[in-house]
Formats: sequence, C-alpha cells, structure tokens
Amino acid sequence: MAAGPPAIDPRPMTTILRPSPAPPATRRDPAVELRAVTKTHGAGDGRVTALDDVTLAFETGAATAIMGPSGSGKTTLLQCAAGLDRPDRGSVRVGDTELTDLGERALARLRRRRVGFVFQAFNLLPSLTAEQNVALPLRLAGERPRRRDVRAALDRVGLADRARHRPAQLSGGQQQRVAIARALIGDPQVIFADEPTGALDRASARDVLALLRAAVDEQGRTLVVVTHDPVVAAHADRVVFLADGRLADDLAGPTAEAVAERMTALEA
Amino acid sequence: MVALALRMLRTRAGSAAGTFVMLALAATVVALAGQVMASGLGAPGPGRYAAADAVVRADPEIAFGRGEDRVTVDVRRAAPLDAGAVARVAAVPGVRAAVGDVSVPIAVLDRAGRPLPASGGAAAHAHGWESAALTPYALRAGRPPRGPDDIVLDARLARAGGLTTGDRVRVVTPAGTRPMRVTGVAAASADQQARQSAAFVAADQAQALTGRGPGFDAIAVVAEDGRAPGDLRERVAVAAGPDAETLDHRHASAADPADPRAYEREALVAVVASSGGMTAAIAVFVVAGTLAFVVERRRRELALLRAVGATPGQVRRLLLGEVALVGLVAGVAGCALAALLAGPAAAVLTDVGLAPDGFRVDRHWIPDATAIATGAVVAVLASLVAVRRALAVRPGEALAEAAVPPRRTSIVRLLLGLAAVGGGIALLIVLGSQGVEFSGLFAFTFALGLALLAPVALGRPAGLLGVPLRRAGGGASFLAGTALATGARRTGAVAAAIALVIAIAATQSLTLATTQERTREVTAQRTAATAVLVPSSPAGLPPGLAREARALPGVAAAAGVVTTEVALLDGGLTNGDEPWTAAGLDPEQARGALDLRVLAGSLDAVRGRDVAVSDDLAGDRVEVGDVLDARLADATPARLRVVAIYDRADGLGDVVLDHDLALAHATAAVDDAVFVAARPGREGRVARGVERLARQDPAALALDRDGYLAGVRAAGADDARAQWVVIALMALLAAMSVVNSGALAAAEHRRELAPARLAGATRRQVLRALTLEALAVALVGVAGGVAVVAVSMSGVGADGSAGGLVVPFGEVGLILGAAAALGLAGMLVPAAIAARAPLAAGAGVRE
Repeated sequence: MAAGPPAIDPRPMTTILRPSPAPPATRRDPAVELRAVTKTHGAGDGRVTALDDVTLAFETGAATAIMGPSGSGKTTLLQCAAGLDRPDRGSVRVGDTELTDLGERALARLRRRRVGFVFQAFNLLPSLTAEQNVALPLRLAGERPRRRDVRAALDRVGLADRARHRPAQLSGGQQQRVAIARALIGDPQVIFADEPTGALDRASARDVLALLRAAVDEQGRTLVVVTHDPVVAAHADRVVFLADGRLADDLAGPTAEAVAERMTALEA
Repeated sequence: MVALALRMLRTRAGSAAGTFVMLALAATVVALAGQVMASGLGAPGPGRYAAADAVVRADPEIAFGRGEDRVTVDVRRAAPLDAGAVARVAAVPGVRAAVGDVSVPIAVLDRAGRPLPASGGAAAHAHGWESAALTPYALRAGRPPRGPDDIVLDARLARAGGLTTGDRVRVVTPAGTRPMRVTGVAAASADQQARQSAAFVAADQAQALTGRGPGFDAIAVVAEDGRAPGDLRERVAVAAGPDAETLDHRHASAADPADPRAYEREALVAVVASSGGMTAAIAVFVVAGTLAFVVERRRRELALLRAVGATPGQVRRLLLGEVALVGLVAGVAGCALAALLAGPAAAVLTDVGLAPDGFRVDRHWIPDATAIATGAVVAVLASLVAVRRALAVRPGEALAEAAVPPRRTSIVRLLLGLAAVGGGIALLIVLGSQGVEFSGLFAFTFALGLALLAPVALGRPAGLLGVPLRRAGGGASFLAGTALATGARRTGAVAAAIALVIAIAATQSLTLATTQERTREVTAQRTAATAVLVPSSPAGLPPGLAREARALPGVAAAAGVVTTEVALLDGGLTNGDEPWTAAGLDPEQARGALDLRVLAGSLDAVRGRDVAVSDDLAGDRVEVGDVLDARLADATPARLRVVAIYDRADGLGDVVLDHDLALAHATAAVDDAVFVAARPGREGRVARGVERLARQDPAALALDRDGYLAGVRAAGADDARAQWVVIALMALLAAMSVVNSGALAAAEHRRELAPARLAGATRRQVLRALTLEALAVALVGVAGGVAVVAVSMSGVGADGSAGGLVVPFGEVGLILGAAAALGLAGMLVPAAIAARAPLAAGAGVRE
C-alpha cells in the first residue's frame, strides 16, 4: 500500500471524519472487474476501436489511475466500468453485480448508491444550489435526506458556508469539491473520476486530490481515476497504462518520475 | 420531480420563452375559435317572438345521406303553413292564442326615394299587426293599421326617415312598390330594434304582399297563464303534425325569416370548424419542432442527471412535467389573450360578412378549459418523440465532449414524410380534376410532407448551395459554405417553415384570383344584356318590374332572375351535403339577355318541374332526361327532370329553374336582377328607357353592362376579404413559426461561431457569413414553397372550363418577399445581438 496523504497546503481544512469506523483494508475480491471488454465507436469509415479485449481488475480499497496518450481509450474504459456505456463484448462486474445484464433503470439505481462520479467539468446542474446538487442522488432515489446530513457532507469538503450558492457563483475548484461531496453522499463502494483536476489550478487540484485520497484511506473506498497528469497518477496506489485500446503497462507504488518515464516510452 | 422541474425552469427562461410563445399562440387560437363556435352554437334566443312560449314552423330540415352518413341542413325559410294549422294549434288546451306570423321583405323609401337603412344587416320586414303583440311592439303614437294602405313603422325606422304619423311613404314590396300612409309608430326594446327593422300592416294585407299567396311562415303560441311551457309544447307539436317543427322560447328566432342571425351563425360555425382543424395541426407541428430542438440542447444536462442516478422514467417525467407546466401556463395566457381579442375578432368577422350583424362572442368556460388543456397536452405530445430520442442514447455517449454528434434523421420521420407526400399525390389524382377547390388541402398536405422530410429535401440542397460558396474564396463565404453543408437539420427546419407560410398564403392568393377571374369572365360571356336593373335595397326587386321593363319600346327581352337554392339528394350530387345555388328565370325572356351556352338539350324546355343543370354539376353522372330527387329552398320535396345542360354557371347558379317555381319557394319572392336586351340598333333607347324606369321605381338601380360587371367584380373582392380572414390565423401561426425556427437555428449556431472568432474571423466576417447562410436558406425555403404551390395548383385549368390559372404576381411577390424577410429576421437578428457580446463569454463555455 502506498504511503500516507501527500503534503497538504496548510490552509484551514477540516479533516475527514467518518461517522462509523472504517473497515480495515484487506485483500479481497476486486471492487470492479472487466473481462475481455471490447468497444467500438462510430460506423463505416469512421469506425474506431476504443477498447480491444481488455481484462482488468481494480482492487477494493485502493486508488488506481488509468493513464495513456489521448485516443488510448481511457475515458471509454472508465465509462464501461462505471456502467455509463455498454461494451460491445465482454463482462463488467461491480462487486458481484454483472453490469452487462442490467437495464437502464437498474444501472441508474446503481449510480445512486453504489457508484459515485466526478467528471472533469460540468458536474453540477447549474439551476440547483450546492446543497441541492449534493442531495440529488438521494432525492432521485426517492429519499429525503436530512438537511443536517447534506450540510455535513458539504462540511467534509470545506464548503458548508457555500451551501446555498449556485455553481455559477463557485470557482472551478469549489465546484469539483461539491461534486465530490455529491459523489460521496450515497456512501458508494467505488468512485470513478475522469480528469477531476484537469481544469483546476494547482492549489485547487491539491485540495481535490487530498479529498479523494482521504476517501480511500479513511473510508476504505475504491477509487478509479483517469488522468493524463503524472503528478495526479502518483497519488494512486497503482497505475495502468492504456495505448490503442489495450493494456500497455502496469506500475505499482508509482512516483511522478516513474510514471512520466513510462508515458514517454509509450508515446514513442 | 416537480420541484426539480420548477427550479430548472427558472434558469432556462430564455429557451423556454420561444416554446411558451408558440404554445400560448396555439392556445389563443383554440380558445378564440372555441369561443366563436360556442357563441355561434348557442341558442339564438327568442328575438321577435319574446312574448311567445313556443313557435311552430314547417320542417326546415334537408337530410343528406342515410344512417351514419346522415347530415342535416336547415333552410332559411320553411314552407308556409295554412290557416288550418293555425286553427289546430289554437284548439290545443292551454293555448291562449295562436298567431299566424308572416314576414314580407320591404324597403321604406324616404322622401328622396332612397331606401331607409334597416338594422341587423338584412332587409326590413312587414308583418301582420297581430304579430306586434308577440314581441311586443307597443304603439307609441297613432293607431294600428286597418286599411290596405296603412302601415305602422318601428320607432327606429321612423326616426331614420324623419317620419311620423300621417306621413305618406312609398314602400317596396314583392307585390310592387306602392304608396302607403304611416298610421302609427310602434316601439320595442332598443336591443330588439337594433336586431331587425319591423313594420306592421293589416293582417290580410301582409299575406297579399308576400307575392306567394296565403300562408304563414310561423305560428307563435302564447300559453294561458300558469301553464308549464314544456308540456304545452309537446301537445302543440302533436297538433301541428309530423311535418312541422316546434321550437321552444330560446330557439324561437330560428323560425323568423326576418331575423338572419340564427341562420348565419350556423354558417359561421361551419367555417370556423373547418379552418380550425388545419390551424391546430400547424400549431402542433410547430410546437413539436420547437420542443425537439429545446430537448436536444439539454442533452448534456440530461446525461448528467442520468449519470447521477436518474432512471429513464424519472428523466422522462421531469422533461414532460416541465413541458406540461409551460404548456399549462401558456394555455392560461392564451385564454387571457383570446378574451382580449374576442371583441375585435367578432368585429372583423361581422365586417367581412362571415358573422351576422351584432354577433358577440360570449364567454363560455369549455373553450377556455379546452385551450388550457390543449396547451399542456400539445406540449406533452409534441415532446414525447423528442424525449424518446434523448433517452435512446446511453449517458456515456451523451456526455462525450464532441459538440454535436452526427445524427441521422429518424426513419419514422422519413416514412411519415413520404406518406404525407404520397397522400398528397393520391389526393391530387382523385380530386385534382375538380380544379381549384381543393388546392388549399393539397398545399397543406405537401407542405407537411416537405416539413417532415426537411433535412433531406431542403437541408441537403442548402448544403449544395454551400459548395460554390466555399470555393468562392473569402473568409465569410467559406464559413457560410461549411455551415450550410453541415447544418442540414437546422437549415431544413427554417426553410420548411418558410415553405409552409408560402404554401398557405400563396395558394390562397392564386385560388382566389383564379376563381374570381373565372367568375368575371364567365359572367361577361354570359351577359348579353344592354342594361341591368339591380335592387337598391336588401328588399330585392318586385317581380312585376321585369314585366314593366319588357313593355319598354325597343326591348327585345327582359328576364328577371331570382337567386335561390336547390338541394340534390342523389348520391354523388350532394355538393358536399350543401344545397346548390340556383337561378329562377323565364327561358324565353332570357334568350336575348343571357347566353348560358347550352351543351345539351334546350333551355326553352325549362318550365314547371323541368330544369337545366350546369356542366359542373352534371359531370358524367347526369344526362338530359334524368329525374333528380331534390329539395327546394323551403325544404319542399320535388322531383326535377333535367331538360338541358349548360356551361356558364359561375356567378349564376348550377341549376336553372322555372321562374314561377323558384319564386314560390324562395326565401323572398323577389328578383335579384333584371337583364334587359335591346333589339338591334335600339340599344340607346332601351338604356334611356330603363333609366327612366329606375327613377320612377326607386326599388331598382339601372346599370349598363359595364357597370353591372364592375359590380360583380366588387362583390368578388368582398368575398375575397372574407376568405383571407378565414386563413388569417393559420398564416399568422405559420409566420410566427418562421421567426421562431430562425431564432432557434441562430441559437444553435452561436456555439460554432466562437471558435471562428478565435481563429481570427472579424465580427464583420462572421456576420457576413451568417447573412450569406441565411440568404441561401431563405432561397431554398422560397423554392420549396413555390414548388408546393405549383404542384398543388397543377390541376387547375385541366378541367377544361373557362379561365386557366391566374397568378397575381404582385400579391404573390409580396408573399414570397415577406416569408423570406421573416426568415432572415429570425436568423439574423438574434445573431446580430449576440455578436455584440465579448468574445470570451462565448468561448469554451458549456452551454
């Protein structure tokens, strides 16, 4: 397992406290597993093979980064793993649920509780406040989360005082933090993040990464991050490299330099 | 979901506005049309029979078809009832009085010999004095009429002519223009006097003046005090017999030939109903297009919702809920607008003659409720398809960074479009030989098909126009050319809207011009008369006038023509379940004055129940010698034998009857014109003689042939105005949809322009590019519209009758220009406004 959280910018930030004790991280079944997954986009002349017979497992309670040059299929891989897209062939399991068997409704229910997302941008509905955005997955599930709990979730990402602001009134980093609060509120097993810091300045990026890292270390969640930035990848416990839709390399306990080296090798 | 929908709506005010406006307009149309119809369908009221409890008249119904296809029409004036019927009704226990009522169309001439204006838009009528008590008209001055020359006028008529008790007046009646003496003035309520003008004569005099012989138009029943009207009415109906109709108090005025309202209201309802259907179809179509576009633009937001855990069902409910909400509010707004427009609408309808004088739109709740419901229902229906498409993609695809994925037009839409075009062609083949009548229907069907096929049929050609633009060099034309090539859906939508407006308006214009020109031409060919006498008042010409004209020196023939109606019940001859216009004339006298161009048989044989029919009516179904099952203008059954077929029917009528037969059954026993033919070389003498006759008898105006034809032309122009009013709403909706679709296209386009500016295009170049693109789209739209009109009118002139297609180039040019201008405005104005925004605001932004 990797070392503890990286150096944090010393600004006041509440440490993340989970209501109930975290289960110890042990070797167990992978949280997400892909087997022989193939996915193509487009048709005719425009046909592109995004994923070519990929088999991959993501460990429970660990942070995994997916890296690769653009066009390598990493976003497609994430979307298939998360149930946002359906592979043409192969199997995707989250826990012991086979995603390729599920219909749209079941997949939607999955996304409320068992799986959380953070995208690079446009994570929030512009017409809802931060509070309302955070509560959204639970409300879609038909529940009425208590205001306290929603505030607490926002508090954990340090934005309790911005609860009633709309996304347009928040900076990029603040929006990402709200997105993380939303991703966490349903107590998901797995969090998928697609370039979560891609549009942020360094300080905000550090905060976001710290939050995500804490979710893994202190709450035992599984994290899968797609990124092109070696610094971000270095925060993970393991990095997998994709090129041309196939697994190209695998690195455990990464450092930024090692990652950068592998990337250069791939792009050569 | 509702709370979420509301919140999301608040921030989407901009794009919701376009949808809202179109829905509100559609709701306004529904509400207004509904109110007009409801007012027209409402009971016409008791009118002149206000003091009566029930009114009996002969059965006015003509029934076309049988069983399920049975359609009934009421005639204006039913057959007369005899004195025996009055006696039978009077004998019913509980009846205090049964009054036989007669209505005679008259015109009261002032001292200068000009007819006094009558209220209500119809002729004034004289009644027997007993009828005065039925309203009641109370004597204000003088005494009731006793002798044959006595007349009592209603207060309004008297005032209009400055007449009082003791004055002498001349009165035009079907029995001739005669001198009479005002013996008194009677008055009823102001409303009643505004509704119709009445005069009273001695009882037997009224019957004599009708020109038809004895008989009553209606029997008004007054019950004894304390009798329940309903129960009495049933017994009266039994006494009156199976061939009579008994009306209750609320519907009594329908039995009064002097009151035009009940009859004209029915006609109004029919007109509104027929045009309302097509208007509603256009509204739905336009709203569907708008909503599809709006939903499309929210793809990312919807994908995000689904990524966060909304099931397809929840997204559907959210979208539809939102749209239903907008629809409901739009419906309410539409009702409010309709309430404001009710007055002006009634005025316009009355002005062009579609509604009777004094028509008022009363508020009913049903049209309002329907309009509100319509707003919501149309919105939901229209967005169902769009929502379905939005949910068809997986959230992953929808979240892809690509701006707009290439979308193929749905198969369903293409199939529907082909079906519409195919349907139009089928209609054209079946109905096309009837010439110009159905061109509006054809145009609508083809325009609908074109709109459904728009991306392919209009968008691609626009793209082709882009090819030379791209090569032309210059940054602006390059931008325009590429935009045209890739924006087939967008450009197709705007072009289709332009084509729709042109299809509706231009077809109407051509249809009207063609039919009117044909009528003028045919009338000119037919009229051989040197001089024509026409009525100076709605009271018509006494039939005796034609006899007097005949006696003038130098006159070869003088034919009085009475315009009436004949309904034919045989299959295929029903004229769409409506009576045919008919003319009653004396063929011997008509020979010199009117040339009908007889194709078969002989016009001279027209007498008694032998008639002539037009070529249009006969088609290949009727030949000389056939006997037709007919109903005359007062619903009297008659079997008519065809003895001639003629060609020049436009402006005259499709059936020619014996003059006396027509007079006996017409609504008013008066002539509508007298055509006077001179012996060769005596034209001048005859003209002067006719003029003198008209001066002596102010019932008539003398016109020479040119003057008469000019009058026909003027009447045609009036008709045209009425027709334009009918399609006005439809055209307005289509016009709004042009602006709306242009604005939507501009909104979609905006995103593509920011990168162009970043690449170095100046603001001016971008605007030029937009203008070039807009011009190309407008061009394609106009071409599409012209094509639709051309195809729809292709059957005209093929039916071999006089007059080919008439194209009023000025009017059509105006329509084409206006449609193109609307499209340009819709596409360019929002762009011009947006171009002022700073560049940074547009670049890299999510929506």
